Amino acid sequence: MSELRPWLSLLLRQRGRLVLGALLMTATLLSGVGLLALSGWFITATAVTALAWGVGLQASLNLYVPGGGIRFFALSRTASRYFERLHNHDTVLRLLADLRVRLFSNLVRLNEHARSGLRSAQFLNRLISDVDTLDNLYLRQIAPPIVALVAVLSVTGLIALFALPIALFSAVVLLLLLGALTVGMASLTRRLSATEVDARDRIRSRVVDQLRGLAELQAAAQLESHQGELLQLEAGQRCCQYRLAKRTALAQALATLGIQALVVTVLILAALAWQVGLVSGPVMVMIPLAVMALNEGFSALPAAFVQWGATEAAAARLNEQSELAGCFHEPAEPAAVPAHPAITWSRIGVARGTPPVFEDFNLSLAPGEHIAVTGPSGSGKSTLALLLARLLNPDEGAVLADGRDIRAFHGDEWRQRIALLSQDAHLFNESIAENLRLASPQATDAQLWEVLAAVQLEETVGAFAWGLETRVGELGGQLSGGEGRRLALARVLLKQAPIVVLDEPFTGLDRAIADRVRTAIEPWLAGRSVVFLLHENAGPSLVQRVIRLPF
Amino acid sequence: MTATTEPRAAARWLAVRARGVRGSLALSVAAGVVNGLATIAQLALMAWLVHVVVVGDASFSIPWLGGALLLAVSIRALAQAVQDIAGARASDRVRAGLRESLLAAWAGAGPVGLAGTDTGRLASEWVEQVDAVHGYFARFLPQVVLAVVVPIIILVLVFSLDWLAGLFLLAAAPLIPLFMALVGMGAERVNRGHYESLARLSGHFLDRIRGVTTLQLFGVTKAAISDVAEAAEDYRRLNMATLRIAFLSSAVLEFFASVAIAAVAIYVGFALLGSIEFGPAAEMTLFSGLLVLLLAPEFFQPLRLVSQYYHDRAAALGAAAHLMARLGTGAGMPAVVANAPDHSAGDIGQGIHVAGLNVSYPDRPRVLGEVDFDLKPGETLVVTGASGSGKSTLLAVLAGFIRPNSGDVRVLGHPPGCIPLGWMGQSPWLVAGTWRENLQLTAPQASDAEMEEALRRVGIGTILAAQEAGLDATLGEGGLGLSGGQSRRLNLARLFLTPSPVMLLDEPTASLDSDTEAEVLDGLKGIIGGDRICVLATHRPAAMALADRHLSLDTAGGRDE
Repeated sequence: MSELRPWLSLLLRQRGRLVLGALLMTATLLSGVGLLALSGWFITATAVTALAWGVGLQASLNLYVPGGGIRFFALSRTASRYFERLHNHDTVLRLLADLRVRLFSNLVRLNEHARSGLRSAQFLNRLISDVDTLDNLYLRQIAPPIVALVAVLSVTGLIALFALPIALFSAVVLLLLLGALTVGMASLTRRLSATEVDARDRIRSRVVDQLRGLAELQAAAQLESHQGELLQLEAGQRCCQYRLAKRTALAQALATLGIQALVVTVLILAALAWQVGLVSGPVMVMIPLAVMALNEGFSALPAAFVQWGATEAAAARLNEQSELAGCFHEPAEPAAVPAHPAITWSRIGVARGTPPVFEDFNLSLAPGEHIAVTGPSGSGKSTLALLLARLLNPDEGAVLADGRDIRAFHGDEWRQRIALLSQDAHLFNESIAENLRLASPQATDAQLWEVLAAVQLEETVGAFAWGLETRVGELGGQLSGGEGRRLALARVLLKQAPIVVLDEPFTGLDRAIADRVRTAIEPWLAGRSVVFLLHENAGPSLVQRVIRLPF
Repeated sequence: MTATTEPRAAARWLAVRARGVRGSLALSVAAGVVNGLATIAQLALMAWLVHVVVVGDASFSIPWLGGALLLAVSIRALAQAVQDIAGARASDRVRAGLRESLLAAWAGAGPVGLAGTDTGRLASEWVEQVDAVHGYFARFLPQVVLAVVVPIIILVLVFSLDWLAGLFLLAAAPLIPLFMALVGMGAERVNRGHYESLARLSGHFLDRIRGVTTLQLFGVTKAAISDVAEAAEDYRRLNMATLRIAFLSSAVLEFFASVAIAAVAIYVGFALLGSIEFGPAAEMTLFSGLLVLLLAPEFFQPLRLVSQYYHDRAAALGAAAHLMARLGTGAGMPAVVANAPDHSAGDIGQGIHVAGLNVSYPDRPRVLGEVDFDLKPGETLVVTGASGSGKSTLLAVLAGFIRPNSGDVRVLGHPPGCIPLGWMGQSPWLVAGTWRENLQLTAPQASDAEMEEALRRVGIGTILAAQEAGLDATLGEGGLGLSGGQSRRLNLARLFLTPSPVMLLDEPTASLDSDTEAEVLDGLKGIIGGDRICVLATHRPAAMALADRHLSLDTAGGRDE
């Protein structure tokens, strides 16, 4: 339950809407109760009156009030149902926005280490499905039991006006049933539901593994046995699902049995009460019918609460994500960032991560100087860039700008001075122009074409029917790897920052194109401080120093 | 496929799937009918009890009536459970079948047929899309039948009690197909729109999450947060517009149901008072009147459930469209050679024989033209050529992943695809698990000694020796903790362990820097030779040093040089 606390507090921001939604749900349910109960009362009252007339008694019955009441409930049930659905869907969609914004704001605050898991597609899929699960928390698991509770209290309150013992008896039975269908159902299925979700995750990664190794397995004639194992795992998971479905079905049967047995019992009690003159005939019929109409409020509970374990697990995973250590802390009073500072990596130590990390590492970069840092992959080149961009804080030492620790600046302001082409530079599934304008929102089309020309993409983009407005596709899928890389480079060029870090700018490019790009960007690099991060000693001619990692 | 035919084709496809689980579905429907009958019995007994108590024209025994009522209620609950469980069983069996078919389709399409399809997407088809048909078989299909049968039973009963009251319900009955259509159209539109735009929203969100670092680097995280909020808000506004209309159709159903109940109640009341002179009204008793009232909501209930389950249908149709397309590809292109591997090692002496090999695709004529070569045991052939010259295609033909248009290809005396081979692709394939598990992926029989020997041969024996747990040490996902060169050498070790003398390597050093490439080629050197036949496709000159033979696909025709 505690896993849900942060999400519940997020829900409570829409408090007014939630209360109104629950009221509308209650109104719908109670209209149904009113319609059936009042109809039963009315029919019996007319029958009793007719009987009285039959034996020559004087009896009168006001037909207009109950008749009007029946018509009112018929209309109010329809209207409140319609507005309830509309209102609550609107609420859910608003919550959906809140949820996503909250989660995203958390992710933005994380540093690189904490976020490294984000690159796995599986992790992302799970994140999205967890968010989707929480989207329905209010509508499926919070509002219905509250509404059922309110309805139980209202109906038993009404019965209490006529027959207190029957009301108390019904209240006890209904509350026990409510508890069984919510808390009982949740605790009965929590473990099985968690097992099922785990199994699904394991199966998913097994499927991905097999697909990635399809060629090897098929060539070695091993595919069949691996698929057999997969099907066995899957059968286990389906068995979990089937058992959950069985428990849900039995809980639903319990709901029917509980309510209908109560209806029957209450009817017999009311009949006995009528025989001793405690209640009138119409009331005797009204009481069980009111209980019967409550069924609607109970029938959806088991299916919602069988999901409770999965909801808790989803919330727990999302919490873990946002509570990870390694958040950035911005200074309370950020210092002004110098225009074009000299950079010093001073006595840097980075202890986390797999082996090659820094210990007492020193490097300086004078304004306007061009250097290259080379070394095999994994030697820590990219870490230097992350440290400079303050996407990662060193465990020891500091990155200094004109002698001042960069943690004294506001992160976003500091990063305005840095143009970094990272190895995993991301292209958004938007147009080419929008991707470029991330670097400079006011850039004119002419400026965009200029940087595209520098990275030798002018012709390619010019040939697209939509030109700059061409969408690049998911993960830049509409472009080849090399084209995507050059577009990312163009974006970095457009940023016009004094300090430039290019991490493997030419990987994946044909040698001829790489040479042309190299030449085309050299004038643009003049006057800026530049760090090339390369795994081969192949920096442009302008490089003044080459540092090899590891030392 | 147009938007109108697609759901219809998907619905047909689902109907075929339903045929296989007719038994469970029939049981579910039968239990639903029993549930309906037990409900009617319960209501009739209740009305009778009220009648005899209030009118007092017959004696009644509480134990008997009470017992009968509890029996009816119990049967009702039991039948409901059976209905749900039988439905779940039907869904369970359909999904098991679908997953098996998908695996067969993947195997049929082979690595070449599936190339370019995102594995995450395929995995989500196998897991989520298949699960998305659950509600359709478990709930919707049985309920559609019940929505016809149960109201008819109730209608007949009500007519026999009081035909005028029956007319009230019947008046709503011709409207039922209309409601169904209304609800259907509304729900379908909502669902289709909803799923599409939700997928778009999720895609947008996912894209932003993947690009968080980039957003930070450009200092636009604040803008991105409001972007996420805006996208969700747009989604809300768009959806609310559709929902307003879509909910109306179910409100109409709700309205008629409520009004019919109200009308029946008022009619019965006036009839009992004797205010209605004509028709059967005069014979109305408290029993028949009350029973008609109690049956009225039950008349509409099955229909309301159908509209409630309608989203199950929409979800299933959406999933069916994806699954149909995937299962279709397997049938459309007989890519993989159909012969079942006979697991015999083949005759090593026969080597590899390729004569007059031609491959073309519908959209790319002549991918490979007239390739001829023969390889004897112990030979290593390096295949070179610019990208697009057909290197990978040649290897895929040798492995049996695609069928050539013409030519005679024999691997160890058998057609390709009939005997096990060792294969290694461009990116290393490692799974989250131990060293042992990774090595045994294609060589389940390999002993510890053999595995250690293989690792030594490819030059990473020392890394294993440094692991305390030895072969039981774990590797992270994708070989986390190993360098790119080490991961590839681990793959080479597995290749060596694969019980086949033929090794096919498709650009195993692509996208590596020259140091790492040298490291991998060193490893490769350790496993070639002996009787092993090795075919290596590459565009990197460094690999040529390993070759006994060289085939360049750049020259026209592609002759062995």
